[in-house]
Amino acid sequence: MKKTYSIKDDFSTLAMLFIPLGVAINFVGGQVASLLKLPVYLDCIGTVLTAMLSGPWVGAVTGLLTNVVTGIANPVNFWFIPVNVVVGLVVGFLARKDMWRGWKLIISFIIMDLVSLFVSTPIVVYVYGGVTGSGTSLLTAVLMATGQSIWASVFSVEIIWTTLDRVLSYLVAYLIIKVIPAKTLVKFSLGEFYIGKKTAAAAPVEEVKDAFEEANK
Amino acid sequence: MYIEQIQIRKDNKIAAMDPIAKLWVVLLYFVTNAVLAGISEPFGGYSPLLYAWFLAVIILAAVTGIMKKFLKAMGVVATIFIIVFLVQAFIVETPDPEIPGVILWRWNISSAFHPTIWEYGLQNGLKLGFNILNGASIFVWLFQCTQNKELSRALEDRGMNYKVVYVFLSSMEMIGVLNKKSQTIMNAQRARGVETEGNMLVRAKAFFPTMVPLVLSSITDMEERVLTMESKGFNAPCAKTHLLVLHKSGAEKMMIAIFAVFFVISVIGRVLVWVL
Repeated sequence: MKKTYSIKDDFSTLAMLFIPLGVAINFVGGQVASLLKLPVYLDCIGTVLTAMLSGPWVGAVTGLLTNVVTGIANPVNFWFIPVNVVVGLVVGFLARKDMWRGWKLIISFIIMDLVSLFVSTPIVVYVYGGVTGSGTSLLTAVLMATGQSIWASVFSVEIIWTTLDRVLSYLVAYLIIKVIPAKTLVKFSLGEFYIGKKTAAAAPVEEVKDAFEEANK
Repeated sequence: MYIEQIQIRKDNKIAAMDPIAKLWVVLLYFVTNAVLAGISEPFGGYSPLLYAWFLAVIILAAVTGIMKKFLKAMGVVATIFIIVFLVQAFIVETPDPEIPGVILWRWNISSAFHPTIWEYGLQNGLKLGFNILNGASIFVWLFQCTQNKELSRALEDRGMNYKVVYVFLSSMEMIGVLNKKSQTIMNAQRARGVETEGNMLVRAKAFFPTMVPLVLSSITDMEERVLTMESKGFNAPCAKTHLLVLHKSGAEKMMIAIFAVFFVISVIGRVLVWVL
């Protein structure tokens, strides 16, 4: 049976509570990353997680709200709203096609990377003139000073850091999904994609099965 | 039926304005900013009106009586302004590689290293910098004089779905809750031997044992909260009661009028520059 989706069904009460959690995960992820002095932001784990489990629209709302909420403290974040929204949408639509497991992962990463670069590069160039003031943008400044064009400098620096950032964010999100119990996963609209393999591999199920068979002998 | 009510009391009339009126002020400020940024021809490529427009936010913050909070919150924005400005002024030479850039100032340290300020870079840096500064500071003003629950309550009164409002307010709450929880988990993991200091790889490895338990426990909690919300009638199809009640302060029309006048004047100015 082919699964059909509707935006209304996507926004269940569970999703309604999942969005604030996703926003908080985004924020705390960034916070912990900077506390551990890591050179990546890791501030879209929540967007990736919500989009993987509840679909593109919930992911997009999580992305939007994250930048709105953090924008209250630092309004500069408002300009990057489209980037986070697009990450949610792309990850969500790919998740509906079950593209986040196995070899398809590579294709998904390339799509996500390219789309978010195409959205973020113009913002960095037109709003900031290439340098946003973050650690990585110093590299952009150096490239620009050596005479590279602004688009080339921004793109070449962003492609490295965005890829690294997105791969790590996905990794954390996937690790989390892997340890969510199946009884919880099944309540999310896309949760079933991540159940089959896991329960089959889980040791306790095998043990129960063995015990069951033994009792029936 | 008696319904309990709470109010937010503010002595300053402008700070106590209806949040929707404040949103209008922000919008008018923004469009005026965009128009002023375009007036640069009579000033030889600079846009002094745009730079002066920043003073409007300062005055606004002063009359709202939130100057201290405002300046404190502006720290981050100011840093970004300085960085953007410096990079543009020192690096960007000319918009067109065919035409050589105009040198405003050069410091000849040696033949290989001579920091230079270019005219186009300076103009561009000021323009980008003040666009960021103005756009961000009006939002700093808005959020320093408005509580989130006021803003969301006002939007709900204007017909926004209560679920949207809930998600917004709940996000703000969740950040605090999760932040506290993450510190507890980090301390606990440190106590049982997870290293959080050392080289990059060691620190990166500490990221996972912090995030995974944090998110997992929150997701398990979430299921219980769904049950609670359902049992308290969150999805019930009826009118909701509110604790918080908003009142107008009386300064709304005046403030919107002031900013509308600024907008009209700026548009007239822009057209005059364009025609003449």
